[in-house]
Amino acid sequence: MSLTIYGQQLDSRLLIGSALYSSPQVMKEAILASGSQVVTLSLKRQNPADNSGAKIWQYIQDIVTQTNGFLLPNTAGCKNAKEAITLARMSQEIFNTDWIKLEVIGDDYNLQPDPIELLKATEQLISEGFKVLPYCTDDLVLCQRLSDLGCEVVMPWASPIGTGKGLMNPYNLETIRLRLPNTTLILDAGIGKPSDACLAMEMGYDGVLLNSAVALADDPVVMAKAFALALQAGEFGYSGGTMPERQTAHPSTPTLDTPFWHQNEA
Amino acid sequence: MNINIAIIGAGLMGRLIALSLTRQGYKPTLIDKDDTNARNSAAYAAAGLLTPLGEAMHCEPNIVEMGMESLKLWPELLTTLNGESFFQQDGAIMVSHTQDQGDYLHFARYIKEHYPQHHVNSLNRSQLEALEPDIGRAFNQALFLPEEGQIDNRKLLIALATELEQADIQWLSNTEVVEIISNIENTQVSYKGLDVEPLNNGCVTQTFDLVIDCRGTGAKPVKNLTDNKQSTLSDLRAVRGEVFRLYAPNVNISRPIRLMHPRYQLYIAPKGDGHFAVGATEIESDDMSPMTVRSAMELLSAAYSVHAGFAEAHIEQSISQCRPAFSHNQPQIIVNNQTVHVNGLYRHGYLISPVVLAQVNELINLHHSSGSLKHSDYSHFKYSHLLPIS
Repeated sequence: MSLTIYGQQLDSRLLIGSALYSSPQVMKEAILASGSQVVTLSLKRQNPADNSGAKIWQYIQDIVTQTNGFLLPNTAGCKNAKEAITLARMSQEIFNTDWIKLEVIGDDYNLQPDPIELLKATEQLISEGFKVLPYCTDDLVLCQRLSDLGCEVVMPWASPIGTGKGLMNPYNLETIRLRLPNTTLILDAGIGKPSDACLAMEMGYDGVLLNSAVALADDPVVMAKAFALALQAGEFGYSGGTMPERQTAHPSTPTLDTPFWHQNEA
Repeated sequence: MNINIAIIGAGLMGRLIALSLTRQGYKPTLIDKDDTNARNSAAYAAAGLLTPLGEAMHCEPNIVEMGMESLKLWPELLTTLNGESFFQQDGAIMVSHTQDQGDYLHFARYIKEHYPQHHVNSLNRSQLEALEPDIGRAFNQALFLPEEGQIDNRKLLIALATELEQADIQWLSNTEVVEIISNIENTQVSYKGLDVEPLNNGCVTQTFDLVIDCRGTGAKPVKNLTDNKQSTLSDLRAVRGEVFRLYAPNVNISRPIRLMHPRYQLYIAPKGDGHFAVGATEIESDDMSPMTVRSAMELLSAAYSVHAGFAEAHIEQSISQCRPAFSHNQPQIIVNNQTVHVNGLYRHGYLISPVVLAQVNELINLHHSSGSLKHSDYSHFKYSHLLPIS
């Protein structure tokens, strides 16, 4: 039932973001309710060079400590490899971790990751010893390239960040799963409902990363619990092995009593 | 009244408490790092919106409740102040661009479900145009929240200063509090003038029966000699916000406009004679440096998208400030012997300060009737949840 990320074993398959909650306390309650042990945080807007976000970072760090988990700093808001690399180095220094959720945005309207800059930044950061968790589009070849560069974890999107549209292209996502059986795949961004997360897990994804779906819910704590359960249901659904789909109905009760002249009517 | 009271911090809360005390016949001492114009306070940077329903999706229900009650309390608080009318309650308007339609519908549903007792009117284009002719063309629909209002925060701060000066209280401006020592029966405050030469120190220590500490993000822990503990303000943090003040004489908007935005609570607050406050960003940071280009672009493009007339507006000020907040983003009144900390009003200062003031007044009455705040019971207070058991 556990998820392994760069050698670290985690009890929960949910990774959760720390933005957009109505207060730090609500964030804390929601994270604890979700059971997640990996909390992402962004630092770009908080003037990291002057450590201006120290208070909230410490608050998040304390939550993570309580869950026996890990902080996952991200490079949200970076628009090219250079910017993302600089921010990754800064976050390594501030949070004393070599984990980085690498995010390089290529389009302002749908916040779509820039695959070319992402590959550049990944290559550089891996050469510096970072453990990169790249956020990318649902493109098989891109995911393959990221894996080839040494990413043990690849995180394709379900749909654009914050849209809550769920799995927009299940075919692509299933293909990535089938073709990269040995890569840890985490579905990142676009999750709206618990059933979206469940669907990803039923496909055999190793985990789900989300933020808005919990933070913007009417009751984030209840929603966090819903996601924890949905992930578990989806995981069991996958490992239990779903039955094959069929075109025709097959009654689950024996049909011996059906008269022979009716048997062709189905 | 012979109780010797000091108020530390002359932002909004400090001034309101000082005013209330002088009206009750006390002669408090007001000590503040800033000058009497309060230019470095969060109260000066704010826009003075009184829009509890507009905030509802991003705060706990008790903030909405306190905001609604404060709307009733403001007019009485303002009655004796000289000068212009600072208070407006003609409603506020919520609009959204097509791409934020989902958030807009969520907001409308949320308010109707959670606050059915309050009025929210859906407006079509012509109804919006009837209320605010200048913005009706830009939006197909809007929500009208008729109970909401605003206050002219800067005029209010000046009027409060004028009245306090006339009341002849001791106001030590440009004065920094160096240390507060909280004893069982009284509180010792050491302070020094900021314009005093560092060489001759100039530190003065004075003893007060009661000290009310309203310093916001500037608050420091207080020494408590009785149990050798420091009062707990460790949960306090700063949340950066950025606001523009614009002069746009060609823009005719009479009510506060709130614009749905995926990250911030954006608003345009008309301040009379063509002046507008446009804000505000919300960044988990204690950074006080000037506004960033990104924030400026976000705020100004939001204003321009509501009214093209803002293209020719003059930028009078770009302001960055930090709001004091506890981790639950709610205010707290913390009693430590004869020291009372009033803090954590976050971005809701003008919205809820009359209710917070009422609770502070109850504490002062309690002090007056029993001679101290020792072993006091606050459970009968209307908003006793503001006073955590220490």
